[in-house]
Amino acid sequence: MSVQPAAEILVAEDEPQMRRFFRALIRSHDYRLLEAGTGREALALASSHRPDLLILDLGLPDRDGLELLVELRAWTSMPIIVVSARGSELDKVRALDLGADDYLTKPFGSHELLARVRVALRQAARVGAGSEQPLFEVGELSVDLARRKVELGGQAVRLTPTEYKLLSTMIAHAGKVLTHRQLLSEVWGPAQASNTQYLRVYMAQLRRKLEADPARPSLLKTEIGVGYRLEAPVG
Amino acid sequence: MLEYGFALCVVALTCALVGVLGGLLELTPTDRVMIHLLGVVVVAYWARLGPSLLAALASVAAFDFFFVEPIHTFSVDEAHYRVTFVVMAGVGMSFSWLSARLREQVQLAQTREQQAAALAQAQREAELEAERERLRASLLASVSHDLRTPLGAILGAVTTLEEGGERIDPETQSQLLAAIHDQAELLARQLRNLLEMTRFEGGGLELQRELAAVEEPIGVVLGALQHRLGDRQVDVQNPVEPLYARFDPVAVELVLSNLLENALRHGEGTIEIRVEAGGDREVEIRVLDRGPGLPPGGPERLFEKFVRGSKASTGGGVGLGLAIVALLVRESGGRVWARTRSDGPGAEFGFSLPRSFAPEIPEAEA
Repeated sequence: MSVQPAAEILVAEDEPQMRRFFRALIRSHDYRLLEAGTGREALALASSHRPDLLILDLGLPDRDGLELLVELRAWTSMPIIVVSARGSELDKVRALDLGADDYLTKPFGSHELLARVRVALRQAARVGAGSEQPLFEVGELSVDLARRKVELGGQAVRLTPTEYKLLSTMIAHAGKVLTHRQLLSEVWGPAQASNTQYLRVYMAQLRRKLEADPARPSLLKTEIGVGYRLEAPVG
Repeated sequence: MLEYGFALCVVALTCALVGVLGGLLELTPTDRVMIHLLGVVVVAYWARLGPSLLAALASVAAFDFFFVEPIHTFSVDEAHYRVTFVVMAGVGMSFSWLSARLREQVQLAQTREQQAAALAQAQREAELEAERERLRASLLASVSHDLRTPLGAILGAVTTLEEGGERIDPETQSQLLAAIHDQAELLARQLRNLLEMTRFEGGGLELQRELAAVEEPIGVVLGALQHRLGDRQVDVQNPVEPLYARFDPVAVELVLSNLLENALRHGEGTIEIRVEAGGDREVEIRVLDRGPGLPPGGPERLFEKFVRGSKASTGGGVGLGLAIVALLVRESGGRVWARTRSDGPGAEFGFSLPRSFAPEIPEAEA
């Protein structure tokens, strides 16, 4: 591997107008593009080309989108961004819990899509390289993961063990939505996976320590009815 | 036929009764006549006119046959008994006839009542149907007007860009693109309101109420409306200690989104969002602006469907926004209100949610 080739993105979408939009957007940002119009095509291309990322429309004509997701997750860990016209929060949670990396509801804009593509690709590269950065920095926040030290604008911040665990879990998946269930099982253990009130109370406390205005968080974002997302570092 | 049999049985029973009582007590002929008439009353009460007439006549005959000398014949020794028979038959038959009339009238009254009830029901249904029809019509009119406006702006801008190509200067181009962006987002928001309203009216709305900090949906709405807010300032006054309530975050986000949209469209100046505890039972959230205040016509009317503050308003809303606010807040167990600001000009729209407190939480596993 001498020259790093551009990332290859597989788009599984049957609507011609949406395909046109994806094509224009993905090509103009120098990614390579693969297209599939059905679930069968998507599976075939995913296994033959091993793309770097999949954008999967849940409403493909031949296969149930969530089933397809489960089937893919059985053998690949490539990032999958799910796209759907069904906006219910329950649908989002199900797709995320079944292994989707991110979720977009139609209608969405190019900025939203590109931001999520970047986060997913960066995340996959980081996991693939096997070297977690010991220092996490975003905005005013800086976390030394090796020494478990948290600073905000150069000032040390004291976190309780639970607060720190919550923060470090979100850092491990920075930029990605984590469902309530995923965060609760990571931080409090699978037995507490449905105790969303724990998470909400701790999030309010953590925001009071890390956000200038907890009602307008710039780092610890709420995905309403779904979960939380830690703002990813730019670049 | 059954009723005739019943009439004869009763007559036979009264005869037996008169016979038995006559053996035990000293019965005068008048007592006997009375007991026979009682039998006729019983028959008249239960049976129709024919059987009760039969009972009246059969009683006279039985009285004559069994109890008037010479016994066991229909002949009569004492002439005055003839008068007794006539009176007895007359009283019995009158009873039968009166009772039948009474029953008829009761039935008539019942039928009339049923008809009246059915009529009233039909009328209510017709009124409801008319109301539904009126709502549907005004919804359609509202929707087609208010969806056409942004669609018109989008189509106009897009075709201008297509036609004009290079001849349009870059500044105009970016203005047209921004207009398309704005109007598309407006369409998406209006569509969401419409969907929520139909979902609610279809009975499909089920709120997922759980403990959460009230500030959470505020942060989400401000994030989502960032583009729409432009340079309008929003000042959030949120207490240092988080306030918790039990609510459906998605529903409350929609409530706040509509209140902010309302303040943006009809109000002026900085928008304030205030979160305060209303004692131990409630959390109150207020959205305040510096606009012209409430339109005339009473605050309650604002929360009705398809009512808009001012006809001249150009923002273009389906008039569903505040109706959805009222519905969702009530479903969440809270109150909703609108008033003129106490501190100078402007409007205050507020709602409450049932307050809750943070539970004891175990430390995470190490």
